[in-house]
Amino acid sequence: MSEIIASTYEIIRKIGSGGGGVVYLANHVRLKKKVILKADKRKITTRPDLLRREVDILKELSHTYIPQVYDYFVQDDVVCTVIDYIDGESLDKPLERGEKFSQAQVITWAKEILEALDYLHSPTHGSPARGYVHSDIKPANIMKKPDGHICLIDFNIALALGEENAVGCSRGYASPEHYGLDFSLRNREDSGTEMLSGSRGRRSGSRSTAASVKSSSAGSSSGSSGKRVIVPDVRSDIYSLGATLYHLLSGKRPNEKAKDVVPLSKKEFSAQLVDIITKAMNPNPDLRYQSAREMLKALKNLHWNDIRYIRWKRRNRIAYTVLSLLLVGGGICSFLGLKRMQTTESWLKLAEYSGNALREGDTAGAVDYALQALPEEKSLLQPAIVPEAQKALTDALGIYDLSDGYKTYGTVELPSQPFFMEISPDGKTAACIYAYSMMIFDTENCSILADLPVEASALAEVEYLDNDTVIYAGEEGIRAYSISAAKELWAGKPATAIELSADGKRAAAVYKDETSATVYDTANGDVVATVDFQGRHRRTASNDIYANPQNNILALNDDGSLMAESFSDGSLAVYDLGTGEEYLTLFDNSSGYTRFEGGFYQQYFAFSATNEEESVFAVVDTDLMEQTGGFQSQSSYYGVEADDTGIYVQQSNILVNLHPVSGENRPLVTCSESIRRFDTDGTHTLITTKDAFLFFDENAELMERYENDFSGDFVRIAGETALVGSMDSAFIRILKYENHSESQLFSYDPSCEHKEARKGLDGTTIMLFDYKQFRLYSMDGDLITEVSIPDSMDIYDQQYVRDEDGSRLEIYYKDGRITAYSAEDGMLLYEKTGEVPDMSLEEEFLTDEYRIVSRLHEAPEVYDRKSGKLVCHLKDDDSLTYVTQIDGGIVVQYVTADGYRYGQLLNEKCKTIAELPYLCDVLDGSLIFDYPNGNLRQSRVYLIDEIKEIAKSERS
Amino acid sequence: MEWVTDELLFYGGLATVIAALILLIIYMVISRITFLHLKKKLDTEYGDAPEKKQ
Repeated sequence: MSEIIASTYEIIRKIGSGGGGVVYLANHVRLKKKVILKADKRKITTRPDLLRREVDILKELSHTYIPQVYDYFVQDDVVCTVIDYIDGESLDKPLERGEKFSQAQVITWAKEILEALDYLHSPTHGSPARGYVHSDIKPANIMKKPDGHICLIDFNIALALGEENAVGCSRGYASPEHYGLDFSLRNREDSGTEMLSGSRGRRSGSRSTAASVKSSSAGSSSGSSGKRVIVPDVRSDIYSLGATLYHLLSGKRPNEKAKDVVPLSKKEFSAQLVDIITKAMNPNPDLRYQSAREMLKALKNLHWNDIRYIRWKRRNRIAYTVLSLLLVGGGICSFLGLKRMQTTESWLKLAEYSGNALREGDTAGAVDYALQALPEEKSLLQPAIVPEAQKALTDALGIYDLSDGYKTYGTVELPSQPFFMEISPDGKTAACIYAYSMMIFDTENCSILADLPVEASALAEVEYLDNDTVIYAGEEGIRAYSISAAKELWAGKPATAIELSADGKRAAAVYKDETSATVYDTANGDVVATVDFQGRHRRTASNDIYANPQNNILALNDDGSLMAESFSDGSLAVYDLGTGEEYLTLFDNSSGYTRFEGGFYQQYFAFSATNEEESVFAVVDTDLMEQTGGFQSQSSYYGVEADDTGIYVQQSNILVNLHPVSGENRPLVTCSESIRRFDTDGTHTLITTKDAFLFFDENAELMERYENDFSGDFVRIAGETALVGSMDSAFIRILKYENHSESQLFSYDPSCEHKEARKGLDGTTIMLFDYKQFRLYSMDGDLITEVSIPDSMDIYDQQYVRDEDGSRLEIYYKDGRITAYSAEDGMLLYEKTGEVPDMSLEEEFLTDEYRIVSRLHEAPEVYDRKSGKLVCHLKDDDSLTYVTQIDGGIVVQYVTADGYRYGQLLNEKCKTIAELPYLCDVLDGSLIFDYPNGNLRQSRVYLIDEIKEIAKSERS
Repeated sequence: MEWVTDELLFYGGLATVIAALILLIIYMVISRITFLHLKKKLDTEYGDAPEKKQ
């Protein structure tokens, strides 16, 4: 029959016994649950109430890896603890069988034990809160459950109570402190510190051994009469655990003397684990893990602290860092490159806009666009200056255009296309009639001075009485307007066509196709005469809304005493304004002419009459009433203008100033295209052709040519201002005469034919030469000599040479002869025979960096001298003649098929940064230009910063 | 450094980014495979590891 203890527990069997007492397996009678009864054979001296309290605390302990304490009771002075029954076997059993466990398994168990110990050690139990030390950790006190987890058993309640002899001391597993050894002192001896005899100490649930412990299977100590109390603490549990792990791994119990413990082999077990166990088993408790948590952390981090993992992480870190840097670096480079490319693209566009604006005559706009394309400050996001932008600015400013002539100045935009245009005598203002207003603007600053309503007809006209007064076809009648006062001076009857006498005293006006004309006193607007046309009227379009055909004559002579008028029936008459009667009939209504042009010059009336079959021109002396000259043509019509400066007759591509009596004509213009419109100020002449407008000087020499993509229907030139307008465009182009005499180097008779001009090295002479001859001048303009070059037809090439021997003209003949003439006095220096020149017409030019090869009919090729690689091609339209290296660039010179010589300034990468029209020579970094009007002019090469400053100052 | 043009910066940078991305992807795959092998080995030696370092 089984024994019932405390009326509750039925003893099933004895499980074991040891130094702490006897252990029974029992059955809770009521709960029908197996429990463990542990009867502590040591006498309990603690008071019952304290005992109760302690056990109550222990009952509260709850952890997965610690068996639950249910109860205690005292029977026959023996304290029995009732503990949860743990199924399984203690780990000493398989060890005894010689089994070994895998490292991974041991580590798992170690972590579980440490979790239990961490819980146990935590000072969170009871009041006052404290922790508990197990003090007898060994394989026998670790139960392996069927599920593979462990449970830490044999928690010593006596120890919890602080009873004497409560500390377990299992040999090999017990820490040195259990034996009273303390290796933590600085001057510790190997045997450790002696123990004090008779003294006791109590610490949170642990108890030091007071005297030597008997040697038993539970452990032994090497006690002796000591001098101090050493109390095992949590670090003792750490040691015991370490020793337990040691045994579980190696299968051997560690030496009971801590200092004699042989560390586990790192070849057999992981180095980290060996180090952990070794540290846990350090004889010096201060050098062990100081808590279960610390050791648990070390075990949990075995993976992460493994050298292989660390190496893997390091490799990763390096790889990701490198790749990230590449990614970021590549991204930054890509972004930078993209921004710079975009900036370059926008600059190229701005350069193009600048060119377009310049072509349209908007110089200010061209400069603005070009300046936008040239950065002020350098930054990483901004690329280098694009040569196109630099060229655009140079072109817009005309820095290297030193010719005298009319240069693009600006534009004025009207609200709509013009019908009529006039310019003031000084050229400083202009009046344009558009639908249906008149805009007066300042040609200097392109500002609008007035915008006045006019007669709602394209036939409305305006005339300048003087620089400040205009007489125009106002909205409800002819009006005189003062520009400076901005007020109307007088008004008259409705009018469209208006004409003034040369003396400025009379104004004649006709309204559309009315059959009369009114003559006004320009001073006050009084009507001084009315001329009745007897039912005849001017030829007007059926629809006068869109254009003024300008095919009628309304003209006054110098003093306003005579008025000429043409009529729609083909008649042309001159009226005496004193009587109002017809004074002279030039054509009657049977003439058949449909277009008339002309005017008065002094007493002479010059006119042309045209129909589909013929055109006639005639000059009539109105005093003598006889014709003084004239001609007729069946192929082209005559354009005629006459004013107080003369009679001008245009036919096809020729414009002449005609003497009214002798018929002698002074050519003003001869060009290759048909003249559409013309105007002259007596010195300079402006004409328009189909797609250009051109300026000619007093010698009928071409000064400037501007291409036009719109028809030039209106041209005016006065003072130093020229205007060009079109019925197709609302823009009026303003050009101003520029004089660059400050850059004058030399002047000569422009009739002297020559191909090239050179300045001597010593700067004292100028040579003008071609294959046929050369002329040598002093800088004062005196002709030193003129030499005809013999056998000019056999000349292969000419070279003007400047070297240490001076300057000379060398002539190469096809047969190999070479002659040289001095550039100082024109004397023949030598004549010798050399190799027959290579007729392949291939030339090579060298600079420091480049080799430029020019072949006939091919674009010159630029090669890098170091690498031999082709760098680029130069212009292929014209022939390359010279290449000169200057600071920071190259000057290349070309000649066109018709002999026009010009140059280009290239930057160090052989990109064009400036056009150099009429360039003839480069000497000491100076550019010399040879203009057709007989002027040699000189300029230096401007740096881009200088050009920008010039642009800014002009803009302001 | 005249040979470093804007186009070279852009396209070179772009090529570098693409190459870096490709290498990154390849390396991530290789690294993952290597890690799995290593983890298996370490799990064998040390048992199952916690998800992150304590």
